[in-house]
Amino acid sequence: MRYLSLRSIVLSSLVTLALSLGAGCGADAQVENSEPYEQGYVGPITIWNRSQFELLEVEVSDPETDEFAPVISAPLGQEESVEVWMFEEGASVAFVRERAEGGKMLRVETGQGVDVDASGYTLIIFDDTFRLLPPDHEDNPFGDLSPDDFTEPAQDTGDEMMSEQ
Amino acid sequence: MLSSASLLNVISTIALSWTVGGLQIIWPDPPESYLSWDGVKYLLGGIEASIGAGSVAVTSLVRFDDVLREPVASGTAWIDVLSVSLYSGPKATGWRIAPTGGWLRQSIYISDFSRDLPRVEDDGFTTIPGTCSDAETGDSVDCALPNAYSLDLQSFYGGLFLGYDFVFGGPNFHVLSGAYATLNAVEYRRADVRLANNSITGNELIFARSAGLTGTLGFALPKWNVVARTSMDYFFFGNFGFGDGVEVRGPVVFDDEKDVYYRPRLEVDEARLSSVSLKFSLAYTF
Repeated sequence: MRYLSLRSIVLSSLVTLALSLGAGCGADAQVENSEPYEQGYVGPITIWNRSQFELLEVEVSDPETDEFAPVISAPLGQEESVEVWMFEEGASVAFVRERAEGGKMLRVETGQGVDVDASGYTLIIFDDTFRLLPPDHEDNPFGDLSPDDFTEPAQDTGDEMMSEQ
Repeated sequence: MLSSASLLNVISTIALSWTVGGLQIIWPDPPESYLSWDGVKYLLGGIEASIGAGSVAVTSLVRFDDVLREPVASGTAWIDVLSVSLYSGPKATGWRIAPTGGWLRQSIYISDFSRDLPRVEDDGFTTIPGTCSDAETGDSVDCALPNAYSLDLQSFYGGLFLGYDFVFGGPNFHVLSGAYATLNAVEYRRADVRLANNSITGNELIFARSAGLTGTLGFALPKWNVVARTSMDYFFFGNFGFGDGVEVRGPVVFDDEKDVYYRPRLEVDEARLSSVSLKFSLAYTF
């Protein structure tokens, strides 16, 4: 009986040790896989519709989750622009327009994240491409945006990102 | 040089000498008076239904300042043809001028034309290409995918045709052949244009806007008043109006102010068609 007890103690100790080691390794692996998300530059950007279409939706993604959120509450006409105040470096931009008048809806998305590292970038939307203008580019009429330009958007915008049309 | 009349006489003589087993050239047997019911029936010929298919060349036209019609796109498409008309095929050997009239329906599926846009060299800016998808289904699509249109063109027409027929055979069976030129003097046209969720209909009454050439070969059962024939048609339809404009993308242009190549959105008001089609017809002759 005593022998058995001793053996059970030894066995249970070995099992406990093995489980602890396993759990330790698992924890190490978990730490390696859950590298904390490193947020890039966040600041204002202007999105300028220079396409031939009225944009029915304009959305900006969250680079951490890749989920898109609308930045306009009404269609964006030709040559109209919208300022997105919390645009994060690496975010993608998408818009929806008619393929042709009365035709199907087409969604166009930046094929890559939009790299901005300062305030005042302008992202031009053409029919199915985008053009990113640095703040000091001669074709960028908006330039650096001052927080004074910003007015709180209406409260009924739901999940929309902070933006101003 | 052999005149056309002499040539026809030679052909007729050869054909006549070729007659075997009672086959002979069928000559016209006009009524005593064209102002009689028999005369009217002789001129009208009969009633004929046709189905066919072929190729159609479509040129899309844009109207500028309500006057100038500018072609902006052209291409070919498959065409289905359905018609009900007065019988205008051969009945006897010889020249013939007669009225023609009926209903013609042409169904065309056509798309505007895909063109690659040149890319402007990045000059202190970054071009980011777009990836496109169907907003409803999420399916990936080509950003430059052309728009597809379904055109349903109908014409109620009346006109004249002129041609030469050569018919031979026996009392119960005639072999028919002929070649004609047709002018549709008056037409009531209806054009239905369908684009995705949108449908546009245009109606118009026009004069002398379509003409064509036809070659035909077939047979007749005179005692049954039945004719079966096949025809090869070439027809030109000038300016089929759409009512409202249909959007297509125009030729590539460069916008100096925006520094970008693009294809302008244009409203096409009408299309010009020329079709080559093979038709099979069944007729009841008067």
